[in-house]
Amino acid sequence: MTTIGIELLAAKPAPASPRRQALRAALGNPIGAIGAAGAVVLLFAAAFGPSLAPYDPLDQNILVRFAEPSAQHWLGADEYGRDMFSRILYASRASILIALSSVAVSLLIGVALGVVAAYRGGVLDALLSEAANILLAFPTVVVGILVLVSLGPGSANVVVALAISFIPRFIRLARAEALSIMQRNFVEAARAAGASGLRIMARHIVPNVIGTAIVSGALWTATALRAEATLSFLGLGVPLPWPSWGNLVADGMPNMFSNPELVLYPCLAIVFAVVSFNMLGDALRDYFDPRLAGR
Amino acid sequence: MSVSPPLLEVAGLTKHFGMSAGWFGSGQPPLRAVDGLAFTVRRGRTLALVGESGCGKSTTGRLLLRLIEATAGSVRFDGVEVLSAAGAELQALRRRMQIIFQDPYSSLDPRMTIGQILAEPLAIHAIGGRAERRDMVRAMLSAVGLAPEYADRYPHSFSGGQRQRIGIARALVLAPEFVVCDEPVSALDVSIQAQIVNLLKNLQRERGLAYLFISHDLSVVKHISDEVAVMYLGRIVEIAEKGRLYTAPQHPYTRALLSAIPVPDPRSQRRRMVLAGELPDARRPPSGCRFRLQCPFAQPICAEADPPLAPIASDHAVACHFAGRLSSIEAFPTTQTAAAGAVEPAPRPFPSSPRMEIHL
Repeated sequence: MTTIGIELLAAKPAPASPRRQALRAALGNPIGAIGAAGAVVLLFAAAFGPSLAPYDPLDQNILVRFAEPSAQHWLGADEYGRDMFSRILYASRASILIALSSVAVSLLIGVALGVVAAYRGGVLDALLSEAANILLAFPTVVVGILVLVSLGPGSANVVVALAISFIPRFIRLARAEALSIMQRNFVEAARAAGASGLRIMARHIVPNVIGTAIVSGALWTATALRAEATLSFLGLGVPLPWPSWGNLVADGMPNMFSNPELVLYPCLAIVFAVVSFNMLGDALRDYFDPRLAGR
Repeated sequence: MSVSPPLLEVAGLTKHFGMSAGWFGSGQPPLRAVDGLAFTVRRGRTLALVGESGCGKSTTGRLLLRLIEATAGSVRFDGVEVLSAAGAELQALRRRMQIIFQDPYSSLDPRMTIGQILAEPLAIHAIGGRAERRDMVRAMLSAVGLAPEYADRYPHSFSGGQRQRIGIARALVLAPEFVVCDEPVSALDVSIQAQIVNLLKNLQRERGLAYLFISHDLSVVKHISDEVAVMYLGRIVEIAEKGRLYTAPQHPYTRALLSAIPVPDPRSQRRRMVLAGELPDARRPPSGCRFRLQCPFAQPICAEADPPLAPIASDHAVACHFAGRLSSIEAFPTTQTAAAGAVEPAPRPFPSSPRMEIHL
């Protein structure tokens, strides 16, 4: 038969799985690698911190009030003699859990709404886009304060507040990406094959949008960490006496001049987390789009 | 020519863009991308649709497959009206009518393996089980000259020509009877073009496919088509059996297109027909014959009456008032003898007027 064997052309010599290649590209970039390592440390602290912490973070011991760092208390103790190292470990769980879950919720809802808006178009698209634009007019912390004042403080409400602020950003991102992907012929090919709208969105559009959304999700996690710290600092976030990084800064404020390290440690933790997630964004971008690696 | 009943019968097919005026009303007349097309495609045969970019040929292909909705007209596929089909009827039609795209890069989903891409149409139509689909995909890959092992790879590890083979495989995996080939070789290197055209011809012979071959390249069309329809500004201006069209073109536009085909022999002397002016705005086509502003033979009647597409033989129809007697009219001096490879280019008669050569 003439059709076969015109040429069993060799494909380019890259049979290595594209995922592995992408991973190599992502970790080959030092900034990305540092960010990924920092994020792993933070996730580890959030997951296992409470079982590693030497003390109960709420245990008061008046004898070690304002203790200097020592073998017993690695980072010293606060004004009630609570172990700072244990408090920071516990705080990392609260802060990171809130940041990650608010971003995860916003990403899922925002990408779904954005893709549907792009695909269906018309009135639905107009409504969703306008609603997103209106919400985007408010800064994250202002939305947070408004929501928490009306719902009351608490960790779950912080997640809601941050999600309300982040969802429109993911809607806009996903909608724009989806519109450009819908121009590609493979979407037309799927329609020509009889694929339903749901199938096209789920199989073709979302998988091509999700990478970008995850990359910006890492960056929004850094913002969420800052916003959570701000809201908790204002007393609207994680309820006292439970520690979050924002609470710890607020706790240390009255004695900032005599014991600045009590404010410094949680601030360093926040800086470390924000920088790590920003750098992780770099690594994820290289992973999802290896063509941009190293730029 | 055998007299099998046509597989695809198109009548009065029309697409106007810009009809929904929006909130403030565009105030613009609609863009008549496709304006009352009629043609037929028979089983196992190829109708080529040629014309400049923007003449509506790609839109026509998409209208036939219901990838965009027509404004008016009728498309009958094997007796079934396509434009009004819905639900299961439309799904059944989609299985029988497929499309191959021009751009081999945007036509494959970069996040799916070749195997997944080829299996998707089968999954949509619930054909076979998982293992069966896998075998069908592998068989399809070898039918288009690719190794079955490529099923596990992603599109980015293939060249343009290989990707186009994958696009062909995806279109054919449902065993369709009719395939719209939308400029399938225009994005490929010339050396690869011949391979893909030959592949399409072989697959047509083996599977009895009917093609609508959309192209702007008359030299490619000559190799693959049985009939050729020439489009200008949303209309067919000439449609004929291939041999007649290439040897005895009747419409001045067809003549201009044919005279622009490059000839490999540098010593050959050819009459080169150069069209004046630009393609008119499809929102505001000229009165009478749409081609008259660019036509070197235009006469007063051309501004008054719109010539219908009228048969001049059983296998030849032309939309021109002067079909068959163009030679009796003296053309404007826009026809010039250009000796390819001549040292001095022929002086242009009206250097100030905008002119355009059709590059094919």
